[in-house]
Amino acid sequence: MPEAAGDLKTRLLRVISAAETGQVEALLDRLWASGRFRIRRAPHTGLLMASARDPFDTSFHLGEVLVSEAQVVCDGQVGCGVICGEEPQRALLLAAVEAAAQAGGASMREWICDLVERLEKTKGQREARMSRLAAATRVRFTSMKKETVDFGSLGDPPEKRP
Amino acid sequence: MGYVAVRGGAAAIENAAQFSLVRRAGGDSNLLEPAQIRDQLHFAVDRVMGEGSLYAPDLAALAFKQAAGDTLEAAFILRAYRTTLPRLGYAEPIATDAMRLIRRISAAFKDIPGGQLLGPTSDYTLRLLDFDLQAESSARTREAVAQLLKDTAPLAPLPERFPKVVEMLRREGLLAPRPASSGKEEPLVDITRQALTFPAARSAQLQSLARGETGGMLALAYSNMRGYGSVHPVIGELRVGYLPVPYKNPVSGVVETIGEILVTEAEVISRIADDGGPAVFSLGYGLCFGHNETKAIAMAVLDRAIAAPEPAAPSEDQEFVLTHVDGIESMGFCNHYKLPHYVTFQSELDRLRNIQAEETSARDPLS
Repeated sequence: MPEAAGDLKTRLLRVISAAETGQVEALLDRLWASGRFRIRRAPHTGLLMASARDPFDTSFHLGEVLVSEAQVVCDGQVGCGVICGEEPQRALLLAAVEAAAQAGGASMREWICDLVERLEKTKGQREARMSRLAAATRVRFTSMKKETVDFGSLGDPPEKRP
Repeated sequence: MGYVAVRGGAAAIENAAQFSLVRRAGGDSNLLEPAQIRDQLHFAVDRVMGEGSLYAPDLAALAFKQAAGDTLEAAFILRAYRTTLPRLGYAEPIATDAMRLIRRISAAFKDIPGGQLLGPTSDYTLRLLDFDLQAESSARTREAVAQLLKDTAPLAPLPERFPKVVEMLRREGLLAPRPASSGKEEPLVDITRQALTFPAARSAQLQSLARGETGGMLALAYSNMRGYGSVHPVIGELRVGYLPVPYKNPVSGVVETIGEILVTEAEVISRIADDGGPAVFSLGYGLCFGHNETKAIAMAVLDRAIAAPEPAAPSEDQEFVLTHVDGIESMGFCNHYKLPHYVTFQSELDRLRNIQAEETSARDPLS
């Protein structure tokens, strides 16, 4: 896969949750209208087992996650889209973007980039908003007794007391 | 004891289902939309996902609506639904330090690197009934939300990662290593595919607890905290946030982040009983779907408790704990007693009558 193909899809994956249904459908319609695409595997839902590692590095299965998957072909190049949730249109768009990025085509790339850039802005604002809400709850409890724990081993020295 | 089926009652069963519909939707209030449940009753949705062991907020909200607010029943419906879907694969294991945090506290250390974040919590406020919510003004609530966003706009967003508090203890040699329960290299077990056997691999223990029922886990963990056990927990770190889901794309082979899941993580520190070795802390670990702090803490306490080499209380016995925490199994077993047991009970009745008759004739052989 050319490097750019992976890049564009990775960028889209990072922000696609911020897309409105209309935006996803509009881009899909534009791509389908080019006549270069064929749906290889229609969108369907399934399960992925999610896993985590505990602090002792033991991997374990946390539980299953509902995901949607679709496969699309563009000029013989196969793209596969997998996304969390029941999201048939988004899975199709991810598959189409992967296939299109591999097949090449400056105009298609431009349409996709245009949406990705808009979504990056929206998603960035949304995440920053949530992050600021959490930052506003930052707390520094004061204790009657001086604490003597050294956090130097975590590479982040304790803040200086006034 | 065998079970004997009964027949009949189809019309009554159908009418009973319709009666349930009337109880849920027969009143004058507006019908609930699943999206309202997903957004506004998020603790219930998270609990259903965690106990149903399926991360699907929209479906969990729907199940909660269908079950008219019964979380056990909703988790049952969700877990039943999962059996209709194909397993597409396994996501890559993820280290939780990659969590995008909304809450992070430590009860063990006051000043932790990166700071404590209270996040969305009512832990420090009074549990007073808020009568303003009786007739909540949509406009006023939206205004309050907008004002809060405006007030926080000048703040700097949080860093992407925060260091783990327990890492500090580990680096200073204060944390006991966690040996595998069988003492040798263990495979990664999936209890949805393999029956749970004892002693269970640690991965099976954690998976069982992660899908356990909050109330059942709380009761067992509470028994331990109160004294029927030896865990004296201190919360080293409690985190709530979003974990990325990495998955190897089946066509390209590239590992992609296909979304995020909200999780709660608890790391509980407890002194290990003095057995002649160096004095160290041990760690109990809890991680579950959604925002469910009670469950994550109970899980961490139980994880630590069942590591006891010689169980001295039910909560320290891994077989006892792991076979009783599943809500669908325990609720199903409890409720199956409501179903017809006429033949089995009839045979008990006959036996009891015979025994009594024999006792009477033994006491009074002439009667």
